[in-house]
Order: sequence, then C-alpha cells, then structure tokens
Amino acid sequence: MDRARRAALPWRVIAVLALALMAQLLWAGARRAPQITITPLAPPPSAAVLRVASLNEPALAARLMMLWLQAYDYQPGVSLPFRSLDYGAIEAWLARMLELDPDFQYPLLAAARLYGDVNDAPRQRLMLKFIARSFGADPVRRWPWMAHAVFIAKHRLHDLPLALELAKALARDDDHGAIPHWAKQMNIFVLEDMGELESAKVLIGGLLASGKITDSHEQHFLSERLATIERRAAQASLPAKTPTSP
Amino acid sequence: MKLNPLVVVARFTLLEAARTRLPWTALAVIVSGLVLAECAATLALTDSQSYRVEIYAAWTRIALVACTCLFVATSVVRELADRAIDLTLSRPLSRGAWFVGRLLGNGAAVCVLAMAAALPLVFSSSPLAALAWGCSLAAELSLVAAATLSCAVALSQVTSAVLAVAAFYLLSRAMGAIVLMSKGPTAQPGAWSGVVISHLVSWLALLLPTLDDYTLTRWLGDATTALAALPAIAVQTVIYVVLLAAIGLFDFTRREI
Repeated sequence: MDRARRAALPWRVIAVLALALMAQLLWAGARRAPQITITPLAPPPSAAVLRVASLNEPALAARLMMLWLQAYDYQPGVSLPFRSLDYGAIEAWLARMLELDPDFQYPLLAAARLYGDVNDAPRQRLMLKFIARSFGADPVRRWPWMAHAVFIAKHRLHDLPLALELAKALARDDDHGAIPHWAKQMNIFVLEDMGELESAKVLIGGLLASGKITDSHEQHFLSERLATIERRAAQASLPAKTPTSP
Repeated sequence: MKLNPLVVVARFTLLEAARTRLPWTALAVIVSGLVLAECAATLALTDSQSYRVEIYAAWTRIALVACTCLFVATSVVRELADRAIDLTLSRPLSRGAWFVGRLLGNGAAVCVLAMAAALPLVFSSSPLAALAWGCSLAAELSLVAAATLSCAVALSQVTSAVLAVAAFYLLSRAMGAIVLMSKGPTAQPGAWSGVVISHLVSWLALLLPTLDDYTLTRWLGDATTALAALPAIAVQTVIYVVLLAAIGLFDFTRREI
C-alpha cells in the first residue's frame, strides 16, 4: 500500500470498526450457550406428500429420508441410545421408504443390522416382524435380510420358535431359484437345535429325495448332516430304552 | 457529518424502493403467504389455526429476506455500474453520508415491509405478539440490508453479493446447532482436526449475529416471551449493523470511483 493510500485510510471508520467488533465479541461471549433439545421422532409424512415434496422423485425422497433417519440419533450436542428411540416410529419411517422405493435395500439393512442389533428384546422383535412382513412382499430381493433375521432370532434373542417361524417363511418355492439352498435349509438347523431331530431328518431326507439339490458337494454335506442327526437321534433314544430292556 | 445529506439519500433510497415496485413485490409475498397458509389450514384435520400462523410467518420471513437482499444488491450495483454514484458524490456529499444515508433508507424500507407482514398476524394471534414478531423481523431485515449493502459495495456484482449474504444468513441461522454439533458426541475430542474445528466454530459463532434467536414463529403464541426477547435483539442488531456499516465504509472510502 503506497503512502498516499495509507494516508487516505479512514481512521474514524477504523475506530468504529474496532469498537463494533469488540462490542460484538463481548456481546456474543456473554450470551447463553446453545441449549440441547431432544426432538422426538415424529411419524413420517405420507407417501403422497413425499412424492410432491421430492418433485415426483420417490427414490430420491426415500434415500434422503434414510440418511435423515440414520442421523436422527445424533442430534446437535447429544447422542441418543437406540434403546431410547421410539421403534414404532422408526418402523413407520422404514416402511414408508420401502413404499416409496420397493427396490431400496437400505431400510431392511438398517432394520437387520442397525436397529435390530439393539440390546432390547421387544425392540428387536419389532424389527424382525418388519423384516418378515417386507420379505413377504418381495422374497426374491429381500431374502438376505430374512436370513439375517433368522440369525438374530436364534443367536441374539435365543428364541428358537421365532427363528423356526422365520426360517420356514424363507423356505418357500415361489422364489424362482433366487433364494439359495443354504438359506432355505435354515429351518433344518433350527429344528436340530430345538431337538426336533425327527422333523429335521424328514426335511433333509425329503430335500435329498426331491432332486432339487444338484450340487454334489451340497448333497454330500446334507447326507453327512442326515447321518449325524440319525446318530444323535439314536443316542437320544438309547437311555430311554435301557431301563425297559431285559 | 451533516444530517441533511443523510436524509436526502435515505429519502431517495425510499423513493427508489417505491419506484422499483418493492411494495408490490412485498404485497405479493404477503398475499401468497396468506393463500399458502389458508391451503395448509384447510388440509389440516386439526389445529388448523397453528398451521395458518406458522406457515404464513415462516414463508413471509424467508421471502422478505430474499426480497430485501435482492432489492439492496441490485439497487447499489446499478448505481455503481451506471456511474450514477459519480454524479452523487460530485455534490457536497461525503462517501460516509452516502453510505449511512443508504443504510437508513434501506432500514426504513424494510421496517415498513416487516410491519406490513406482521399486520395479518394481528387477526390470528395476539396483537402484542404480532408486534414483537414484526419488530424482530424488522431488525432481521435491517441486518440483511446492511450486510447486502456492504457486500454489494465491496463486490460490485449482484450474484456474488447475494450469494455472500445468503451464506452469511444461513450460517447465522444455523450457528447454534453447528456449535452444539462441534462439541457433541460425533466430534472426536482427541483428534487435532476435531479440536481445530471446534475452536474455529466457536470463533465463528462469536463473529456472527444470533439470527437463530430472531423472529421465532413460536412467539406468536406467547407474547410475554416475544417481548422479553426484544431488548437482546435490539442490542445485537445495533452492534452488528454498526459493524457491517464500518466494514462496508472501510472498503468504500478506500476504493477509486
């Protein structure tokens, strides 16, 4: 800056600027810190409203809703534990996203892996029921989440009847070959864990006899499994027979 | 600085606002807000009065902010680009008087807009609450007008000035939430980047006005809270308008015209 321009610097303006800046800093420093307010999760808007709001881009609306819901537990200044969330409202949001875009897999992933991982049995059951309902509407694309639901019911909730119910729903024939055999056979292993060895034997035997299993390795695996179950069934029946044997 | 030139420039600014149809634009905003609010109230199954008030208040607030910003930016940039400023400053009028006169004229214009916007609210909420809401809106629009005047003088381009003011306005309105987020559980307190960002946000919050405390729609149901908030808003507005004016004047007195 040359001398002439430096001389032309408006000193009165600079003084006012400095005073105003100081006043702003003092005023802003003295004001109350922002307060944390937890906003409860409201029910989702209707699909029609969302279509209009997204200018008829429902898939985009579903994706934005998912990001918003995912970030909901991180509100400004506070992290809400999943146990404190209203799972009824969460289920409604997830269902709305699937309604907007039935091909969208993210809501089911969130139900299975995110909200379904909460350490609270009623909330986990709510998510499993949601997955089961959604699976019924589109088994071809949604079977992986149903398989994960069986896993949660069996290993997290330790609710074998529920796991069996979900696994039975998975073992359906109208999937046009989309659901792999290992997923369809989950009910056999649940039955085995429940001690229903005869039922498991019948299912494996039926499966092998039906000719649907064409892979030799899978046939071998199931045969081995059948043999193991038969051995276990024989051992289980042995102590019961011993006292009556002559 | 004489009073007379200030009044003259302020008067011409008001005349310009009238001749560029700013009142008609504001009327269109108010009428469209009323129609929008009435539509929403008709659709609502219950609590239709709150829909009516909240939608009207939120719409007119943001629309009048946009109108103010565009009016001030186009008017100042036009005067600079058409070299009309040369003619004005060739008269016995200092640059400071021109700037402050413009500031006063814009301030008077936006006060009229804010009060006109608050008028329909008198019939749907308490008159005191509507008055407090209108005063707060006038303060908010004055801040936006001062920010736009300084940006338009410094940048001399409508697009860049409007974008700069929009960024300033949005950041000021979101600053409370940004401060909480920078200190919240998502921030990593151990990481140096988290510490730097947290400090930067805190400093930025000190430099910005608390626009998130201005013109809250919930005041329309609670006149006591609204009136209690006005003194702090008045102090903040005076401080920040003086600060923005000083920034604008600093640049304006040094530039070659």
